Amino acid sequence: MTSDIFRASYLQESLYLSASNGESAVNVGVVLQLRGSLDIPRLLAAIGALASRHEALRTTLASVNGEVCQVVAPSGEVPAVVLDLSGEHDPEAEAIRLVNDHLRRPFDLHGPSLCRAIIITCGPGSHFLAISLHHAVMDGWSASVLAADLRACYAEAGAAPMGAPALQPADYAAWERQAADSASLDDWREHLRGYSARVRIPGATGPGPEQLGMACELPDGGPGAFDGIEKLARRLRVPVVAVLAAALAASLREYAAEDCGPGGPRLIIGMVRANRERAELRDTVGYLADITPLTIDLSGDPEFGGLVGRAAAALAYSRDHPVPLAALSRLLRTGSGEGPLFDVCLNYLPGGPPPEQPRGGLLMTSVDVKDEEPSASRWWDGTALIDYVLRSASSARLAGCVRGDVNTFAPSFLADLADRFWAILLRGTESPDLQVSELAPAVPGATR
Amino acid sequence: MSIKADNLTIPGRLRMLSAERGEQTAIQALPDGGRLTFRAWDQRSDDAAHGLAAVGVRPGDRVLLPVTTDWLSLAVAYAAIHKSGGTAVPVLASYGEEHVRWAQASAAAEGVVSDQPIAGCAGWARSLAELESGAKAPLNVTVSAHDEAQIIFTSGTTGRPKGVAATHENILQSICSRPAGPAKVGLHSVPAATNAGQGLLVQPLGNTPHTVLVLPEFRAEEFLDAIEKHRPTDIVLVPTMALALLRAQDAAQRDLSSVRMVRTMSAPISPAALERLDAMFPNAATVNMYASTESWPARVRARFDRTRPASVGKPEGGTRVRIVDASGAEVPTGVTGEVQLKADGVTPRRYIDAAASAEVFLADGWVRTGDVGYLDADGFLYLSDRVDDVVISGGFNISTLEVAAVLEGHPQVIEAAAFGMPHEVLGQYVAAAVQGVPDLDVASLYEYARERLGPVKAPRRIAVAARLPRTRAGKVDKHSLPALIRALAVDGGGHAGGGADERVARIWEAVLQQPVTAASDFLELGGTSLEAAEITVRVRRELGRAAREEDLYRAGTLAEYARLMLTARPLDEEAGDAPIKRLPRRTG
Repeated sequence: MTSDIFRASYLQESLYLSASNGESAVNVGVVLQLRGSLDIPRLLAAIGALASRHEALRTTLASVNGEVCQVVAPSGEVPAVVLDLSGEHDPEAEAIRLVNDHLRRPFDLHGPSLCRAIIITCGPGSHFLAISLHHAVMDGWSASVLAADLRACYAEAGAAPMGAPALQPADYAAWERQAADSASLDDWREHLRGYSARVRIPGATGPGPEQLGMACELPDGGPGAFDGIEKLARRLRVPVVAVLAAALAASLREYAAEDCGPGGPRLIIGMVRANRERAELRDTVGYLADITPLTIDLSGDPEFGGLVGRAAAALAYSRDHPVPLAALSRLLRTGSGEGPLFDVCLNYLPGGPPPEQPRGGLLMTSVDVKDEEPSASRWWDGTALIDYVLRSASSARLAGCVRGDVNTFAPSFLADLADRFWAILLRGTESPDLQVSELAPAVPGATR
Repeated sequence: MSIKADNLTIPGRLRMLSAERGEQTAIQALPDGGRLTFRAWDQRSDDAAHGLAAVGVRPGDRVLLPVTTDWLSLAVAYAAIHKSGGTAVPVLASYGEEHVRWAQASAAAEGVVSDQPIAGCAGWARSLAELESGAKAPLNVTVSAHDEAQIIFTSGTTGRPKGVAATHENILQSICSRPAGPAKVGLHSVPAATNAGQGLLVQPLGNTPHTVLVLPEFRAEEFLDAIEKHRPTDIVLVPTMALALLRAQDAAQRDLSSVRMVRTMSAPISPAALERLDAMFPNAATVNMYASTESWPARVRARFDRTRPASVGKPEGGTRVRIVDASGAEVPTGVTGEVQLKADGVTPRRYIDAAASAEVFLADGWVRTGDVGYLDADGFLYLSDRVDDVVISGGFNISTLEVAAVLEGHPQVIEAAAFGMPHEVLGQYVAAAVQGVPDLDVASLYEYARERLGPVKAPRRIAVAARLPRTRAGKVDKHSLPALIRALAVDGGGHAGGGADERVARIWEAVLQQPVTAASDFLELGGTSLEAAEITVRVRRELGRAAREEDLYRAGTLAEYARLMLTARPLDEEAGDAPIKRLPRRTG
């Protein structure tokens, strides 16, 4: 049987075109620790069931008649490696090292598969499973869908296979193309006038042709910190992400370009949207996330609470005018066309705690693998100079990292940014009546 | 007369203690104060045993023993049945004649010993008085430790109770295996014919000298009176009694100093209640016992421990615990699964129904409790729930015990029970019924629960009841609780009016799983961004209006939101509101 060929989505195309020699390591991973007695053939069968259910796991990219396309095979296997480290001196440390390598290794975008799995046994009752997928077929929301489906497929091994989700990434890509082609940009053009997506990092000369991305973890605020953020959001009647966006903008006030008009900095922050408001997309695995411009006006030195209100209004505008980045990119691209579309991006994924019960004799818990090694790639439209990646998953804590291009600035600057964001977020949440300029003195090293 | 009995049998122990300390009181009935000394117990049961022989009771016969509040007669009849070589089948007369008849048939009991005649019982029937003073026949009986001694019925909230058979050794092991300690005086109101009650009946026959005071009809004031008057060293409570004592008005003025040990058993008790109980009896250790009618004497015991308030403790007296998954394989430490218990060196109990027995009493001596829990690294057991009571909501397994325990920590809540209600999207959601003080602030209780349990486990609906419904065994009747929640939907609400308002209100209720009124506020109800998205999707679909998530944040109340929906633009396929189409595939 032959494969189906569909147009790739805008961001899939961007990733494909950014690959050097067809290789790209812009990967998304699902890492699970498995405790209990693992039946490896059963786990491999469950992974196979995932591949039947989700086209993303059988998708590759190709250029067909000058257009970037996604090729969906009628069936496919996820290449899997099974390792036993129980004889090693420190199997868990070795396992983490191997998982990191597995997640970081590039994919050949022209190759036969954009996903792969590794199963590592550390000892009786202790194993790791890592599935690495290229971002072209995967996003943050999809990672939870995949983990949940895997738990179900393993537990119900042998039962009738789960039906396919309502839509697959190719369906979304076609819809996105159509929406982008028919969108009118006039409203957005007006809306973005006077705003700039650029930040000026002291000492930096601007991004080069390649980025060297490095992540710096945010400090762990503990559950109390997130409670405070939720309470403020409720009081101000805004979604939580508005508070995060306001704190982010406030922490970058000093670096926002001043040449965008009278009154003060007006910053465009790219906000990653999971894009799953439609019920028929909820169970789909693929790269469906999109980025929307958030216009944050810092002029007039508002109170933090006021800035949150402005962020919420920007959020509402984005939702009321849902034009895909595929169309909006025309309004955002400046200069030579190299470098990122957004200098700053916010990627916030809310969620609940993962299930804690074993199913089928196995307890599967998500593992956060911290990756602090820099990795090189060419610019594409889904990445920014500085990415703030935040999660409110397990036990309602806020966790995440700031990922930046250390070709443009020093790693210590990245750490400062992370500390500054966190301090302003906590301070602003505690005292929303403080003016944005007053939040800065709480942060060591601020110059203005 | 020849009744030979091993040491480790009820007749054997009775004979020995009658010789050693015959004049001491074994059992005293309150409030009237009637006493049964060891000698009287032994002699009267001898007489009654001969009376049973005259009726035709043979070794191996089962004799039904409906129990009332007359513990002294109960004790005599019980021992008499054993001395005639038979098996006693105690059953609560207060459960009604139909139940008593059913129990006799289920246990195939030849006859009945009862002061009140019971209509429709098969075989012979005699009162204890008739057996003691009427016709006698000789006995030639040998009672061994491994002979069947008793059948009691589990309380079973679903279906019919099951008969659990135990040998003399099984019944006596827990009180006869340890060396004697200082003499004790115990006080309780636990009903006979239950595992706990029967254990208390034979308590005086253990190694430690014991007088057991029984107050058959529990009233908190009288129980406290009894403590002050008789100064027991030990008290035994089931959770309902413990909660009643905690509510007693003048408890603080009472002299409860004699009590050195407070024991709770038979049903789960929340850490909050245990802590209050511990504080109420200043000189006592508070101990909770976890076991089942089937597993006894395998049991787990916890002394109230502030560092591990939720644990039911560690195994006691040769008990072993293990946690297994659905296939019966043991799971690692910290992993939740089914709790199984085993008592080393004792013949386990069994169901009289052999087929049912094989499901619960495993071949290697392990007994399934039907409870879900886990062991921590130090070997402490934590219970999550009964297997059938776990609520599975949106893929998460939620322990109703944990939810109820949190609610009972609220200062205005007297008792709480949590359970699952059906939900079209989540499968089930968590609901709760509480008995609280008259001015209980329910809104604050929702918030209290959310803060401690988080949004997944916190109950989405709480019904307040004057008293939680109970089964005949005194446990909370979880099957009656959903009706309380359904009643809420009928008279709670007060929606803004018919038409679109009604539909919007129903959507809010369905997604938030809380009762709403025209004045309800989405954010104050704890609505999250995921719920905002869900409500918006449904309003768009059902009202055909271009609802936006912002509208939920913007609108102050349900009434305002409903008004906003009426003025929202209709969905327009031209404007991009059409659903995403699935492309055709070559591969189907």
